[in-house]
Amino acid sequence: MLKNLQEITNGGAEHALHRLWSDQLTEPEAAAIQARAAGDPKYRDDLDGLLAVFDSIEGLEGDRAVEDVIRDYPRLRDKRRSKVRVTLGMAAALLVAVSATLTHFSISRGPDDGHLQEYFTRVGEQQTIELDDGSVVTLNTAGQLVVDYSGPMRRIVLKRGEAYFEVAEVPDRPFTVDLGLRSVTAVGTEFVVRKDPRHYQVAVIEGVVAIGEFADGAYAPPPRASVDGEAVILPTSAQHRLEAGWVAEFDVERNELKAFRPQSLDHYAGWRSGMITFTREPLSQVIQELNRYTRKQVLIEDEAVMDLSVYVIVNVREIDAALDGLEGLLPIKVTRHYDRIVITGSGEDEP
Amino acid sequence: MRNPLNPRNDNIIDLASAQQSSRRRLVQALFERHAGAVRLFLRARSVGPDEIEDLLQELFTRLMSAHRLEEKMADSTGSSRSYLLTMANGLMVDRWRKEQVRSAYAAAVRDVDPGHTDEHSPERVVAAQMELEAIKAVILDMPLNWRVALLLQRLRNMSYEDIALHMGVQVKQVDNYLVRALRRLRKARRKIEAAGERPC
Repeated sequence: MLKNLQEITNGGAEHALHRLWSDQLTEPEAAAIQARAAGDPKYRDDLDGLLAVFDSIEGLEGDRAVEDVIRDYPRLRDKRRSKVRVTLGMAAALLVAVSATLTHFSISRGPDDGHLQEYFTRVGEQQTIELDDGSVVTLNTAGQLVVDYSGPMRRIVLKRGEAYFEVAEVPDRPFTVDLGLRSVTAVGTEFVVRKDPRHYQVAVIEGVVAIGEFADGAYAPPPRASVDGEAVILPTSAQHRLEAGWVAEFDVERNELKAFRPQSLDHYAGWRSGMITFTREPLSQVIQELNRYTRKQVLIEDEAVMDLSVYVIVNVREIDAALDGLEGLLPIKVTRHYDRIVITGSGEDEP
Repeated sequence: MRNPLNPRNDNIIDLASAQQSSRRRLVQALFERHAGAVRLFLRARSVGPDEIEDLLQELFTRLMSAHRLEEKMADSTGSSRSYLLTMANGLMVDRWRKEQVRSAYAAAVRDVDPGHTDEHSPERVVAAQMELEAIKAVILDMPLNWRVALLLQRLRNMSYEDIALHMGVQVKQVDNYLVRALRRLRKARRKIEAAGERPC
C-alpha cells in the first residue's frame, strides 16, 4: 500500500492511472493523486493527456490488427515459452566450486538449475527480449548477453555490446547487470548499458541504479584528481547511486570511473529507433560509431578531416544514406569500394 | 400516425418503454454497487463535490442510452466497475478536450464566440482518426505481454485479476505490464498529439 502511495508521489503519471482503475484505490491514494496534480502542472498535463489517450484507445475496438493481438495471445505466448533454452553442459558441482574465485567471469548457479538463456545479435541487428518477469531488454548491434534468473537475483551478464533495459519491479529480487568488473543494480527503472573492451558505460533514463564492484572484489586504488571540469571522478571501490539523466563511464585500463550529466540522453538511448544524435563530435568518432552497425567498414584516410565537428542525427539502419548526408554537410568525399568505404577531404573549402 | 410498413408501430413504443424500465433497474443496480468507486475516482481527478454529482447524473443518462449495455454487463469477462470508471473518464476527457479546443480556438481567433467551435468538425474527426492510428502504432510496437494486458483492460474492461487469469501470470506481473505500457504511452504522447494536429 505504501509502495503505491510512493509511486503516485514520485513516479510518472502511469502509476496514478494504474491505481485509478485498480479495484482497490484507497482514499489516501486518491488524495495523493489530486495533490500531485494540483502542485505539478507538468504532471497534471501528463495525467490529463494519458487519460485522454486511454479514452481514445476504445476507438480501436473491432480493429482487426488489435483484435488479432488479443485472439492470438495464447498461441504466441506458448511459442515464446518453448523457446530453446541454452544449457551449459558443465558439471554443476565443478562450477559451484570455482565460482567463489571466479564470480566475475563465471555464472554461479544452484546445482539443480542449469537454465541460462543466451542471446546475441549480428552486426546491424537489434533484438527485443521479453523476460518472464515482464522486464524487456533490447540488445543492440553485435551484442551478446546471458539471462540468469535461476538465483535469488535476476541477473543479466552482458558479455559485449549494448543493451537497453526496461526493468519490471519485483520487490526483494534485484535486477543486476553484470559487466565483469562492474555491476549495475536497478529496481523498476530504465537504463542503457554498453560494454566495449575498454569502456563500460551506463546511462540512466529513468529511476535510479547502483553501480559498483562486486562485494568480494579487491579494493580499488584511491580516486584520481579530476582533470575534466565537468565530469565527476568517483572512487572505484565504492557503490554509487546514479540518478536519471546521468551517465557513468568506467575506463577499464585506467580503472577510472566518472559520471556526468549530458544535456540530453538521445545520444545514448536513440539507437532503439535507429536514430543517433551527435552534437559537435569529431567525425572520427561518428564514423567509429557508424562502423558498429555495418560489416563494410568506413575508413577515414585523410587526417585533415578527422576532427571536423559534426552536429547530425543519423539513421544507423541506413548507413549509405547517412554517409551521403555527411558528404553533403562536410567538405569530405565518400568513395565506395567493394570491401570498404573511404572518406577523404573533398579538396574544397578546407577548414 | 401509423407506418404502413410497420402496422405494430405503437407496440414497439411499449416494448421500448418496458426495456427502458429494465434498463433503469440495471443502471440503478450499477450505481448502488459502484457509485462510491466512481466518486473516489472523480475526487482523485480533482473534481469538486458539486461537479461530481453533475457528472454522476450525466453518467446515469449516458448509461441509460448506452448501446448494448445489458450484453456488456452480462459478459462475464468484463468488470462492471471498470466499465463505469471508463465511462466516467470518457465524460471528463470530453470536458477536457472541449476546453482545449475552445482555448486553442480562442487563442487563435480573438473575440470569437467560443460556442462556435465544434469538436465534431470534419477537421477534428480527421485529426482524431490520425491520432488513433498513432496510438495503434505505439501499442502494436509494444512487447507482447504489455500490449495484451493493456488491450484486455481497455477493450474488454477486465479487472487486473481477470487479466492475470487470462494471461496465466500473477496479478503483480499484470501490474508491471500495465505500468510499462502506460509509461510507453505517456512517452509517446507528444508524438501521438502531433499526429492528431497535422491535418489542421
